[in-house]
This record gives sequence, C-alpha cells and structure tokens, in this order.
Amino acid sequence: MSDPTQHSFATALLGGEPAPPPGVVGPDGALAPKRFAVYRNNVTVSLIEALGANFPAIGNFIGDENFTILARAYARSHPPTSPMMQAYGEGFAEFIDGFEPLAHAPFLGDLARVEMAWLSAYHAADDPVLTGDDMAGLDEQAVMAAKLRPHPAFALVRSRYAIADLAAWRDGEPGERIRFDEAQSALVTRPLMTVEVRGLDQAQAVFFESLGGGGTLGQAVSDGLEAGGDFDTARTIALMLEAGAFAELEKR
Amino acid sequence: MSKKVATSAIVAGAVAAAVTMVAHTTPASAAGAKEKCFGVALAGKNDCAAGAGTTCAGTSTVDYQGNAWSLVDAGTCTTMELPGGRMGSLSELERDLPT
Repeated sequence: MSDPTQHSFATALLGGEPAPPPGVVGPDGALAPKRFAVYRNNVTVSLIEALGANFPAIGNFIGDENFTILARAYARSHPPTSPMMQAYGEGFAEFIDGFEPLAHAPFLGDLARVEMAWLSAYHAADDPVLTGDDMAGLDEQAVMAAKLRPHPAFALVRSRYAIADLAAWRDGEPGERIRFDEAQSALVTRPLMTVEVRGLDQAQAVFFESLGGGGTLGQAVSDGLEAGGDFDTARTIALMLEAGAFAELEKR
Repeated sequence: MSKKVATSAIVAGAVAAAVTMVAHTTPASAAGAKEKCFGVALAGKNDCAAGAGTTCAGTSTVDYQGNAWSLVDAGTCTTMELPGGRMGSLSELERDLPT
C-alpha cells in the first residue's frame, strides 16, 4: 500500500479516531464524517462476524458480548492480510494469550489454535488417507524404517489444557463437564468430508510429533514409549489409521 | 535408566494388531463416508459451514429445497424417500426452490 491516499484511508478505517481522511467528501465538497463512520463501522462489524464464524468455540465459550469486544480489539490491530475471509484469524491465538481480560481462562489461546487448525483442515487438499491395507504388506524391517507423509489436513496442537474436549464448544455448550487442567493435545484430521478432533495424551502426542516431523515409525514408537509408561503402541497406530492422519508411505 | 527402544518385532506386531483393530471397527474405508445430498434438508437445516465468507449453512428457506444439501451417509442419498414422493439427489434439483 504505497499510495499515501490508500494509506491514510486504511489508517482511518481501523484507527482510534473516527475522523475521515482528507479527500473523503460529499457532493458538496465538504468532509463526510457520517458517511465515513457508516463505512468504517461496516468494515469492523464484518471482520468481527468473520472471526465469529471462524472461531465458534471461543465465541460460544465467552459469549457474544465478550467476543465482540475481543474481536474488535483484534480486528483493529490485525487487519486481514488476505481477501479470503475463511482464513482470517492468523495470530488470533497469540492475541488472546496476551489479552488481559481473558487471563483467567488461559486455555483459550490454545483453543483458538485448534480452531485455526480446524479451518486449515477443512480447506486442505482431498488426498486419500493411509489405510491398514497399505501397512499390512510390510515386513518387520520395512515397518521400522517406514516414513509416512502427513495428510494435508493433519495438524497437532499441544497444550497443558483439555483443548480437545474444549473443542466440543464449537457446537455450543457441551453436555459433559470438562476438566480444564487435564493436559491434552488435539489431533486434527479430515479423513473424508468432516474435520475431526481427537484428544491425545502426552505420549501419543510425542509419537505423532515424531512421525509427523519425518521420523521413522520405529523412532516414533520409541519416542512414545520413552515419553510415557502406559503408551499403547497398537492402540495408537490404530487411532492414527482411523483418524487418517497420514496420506501414504514415503517412497524410498 | 535404560532407554526404552522399540524392537522391530514389537512395532511390527503392533502394526498388525492395529490393522486388525481398524478393520473391525471400520469395515473398509468407506464406512462413515459421507456424500452431499440435495433436496433433503428441512428449511434452515442444510449443511455447509466452511468458515467466514462461505457460510451457507442454515440458509435454505423451504423444506427439501432442491439446491441445498446435507451430508448423509454415503450410499443412502438417492434411496431416501421424502414426503410427497420426493427423492434425494447427488446433484442439484430444480424442485422446491424458494420463490
């Protein structure tokens, strides 16, 4: 935005002062503060609505009124960098982490990270997922050395809080009580047309981090076993296949 | 402290067990598959929440609106019988459009 006119217009749209920039005039040639205020308000409201659509769990959890305050503060300081509103909200999680009025709910930042991962997963490419059949034919050596290519929708969000359970807030208040302080990681995938969020314990998260980061299956299992005494290898691999976390075996 | 290291026998055994588990819970990967089915949603109950700017979920205004879809279990759409002799369809329909 090199044009000084565009720059002053954009600054006035999102700035603290509602005064119109020079050049925004009515038919009579005078500055048009009321018209500009209407436009300015429409911009902000549409950004707040976009955030509400992208982060329904945050909205449902803190309520419309609080969400509007939060979203307005974010939108003013973080205008969209892309015209695609379905991806708007980059840095929203970090903004929430630093948002003083929500300091009593420290898990909300991580919940926003899960919602951002949900959005990316929804719009990710439709690759087929790795199935049990793909793995059934491998001998012991090949299994140990196998590297898997993550499915385009795959994301792992680690947290000290029960964020996978909290993701249920996307559909409104969950029926069951959630213990916020249970450390969970969220595995986000989209095996078919629906985005799925699964809760992982610490050792499982280490396994997925290792495997998703390009490690071999043998290494990932070792990392999982190392991380927690109750790591159930078979169950975790079953969960991996069921969730569709990976697309295919990497060719060697 | 000895490091826990996965042996090839353990990992291969776990993979085999996992494949069996998945095969039992979801017979073939088609289980749980969904398809878009047109003309079956009640007014305001159609699907399609794709984030901001694309939201069309819940925007159908008449029952069984022909150009609004719902996600249904794969293979069940075209066999769905609805009131008034209507059937679900995998492509958009001309019937029951809002005026």
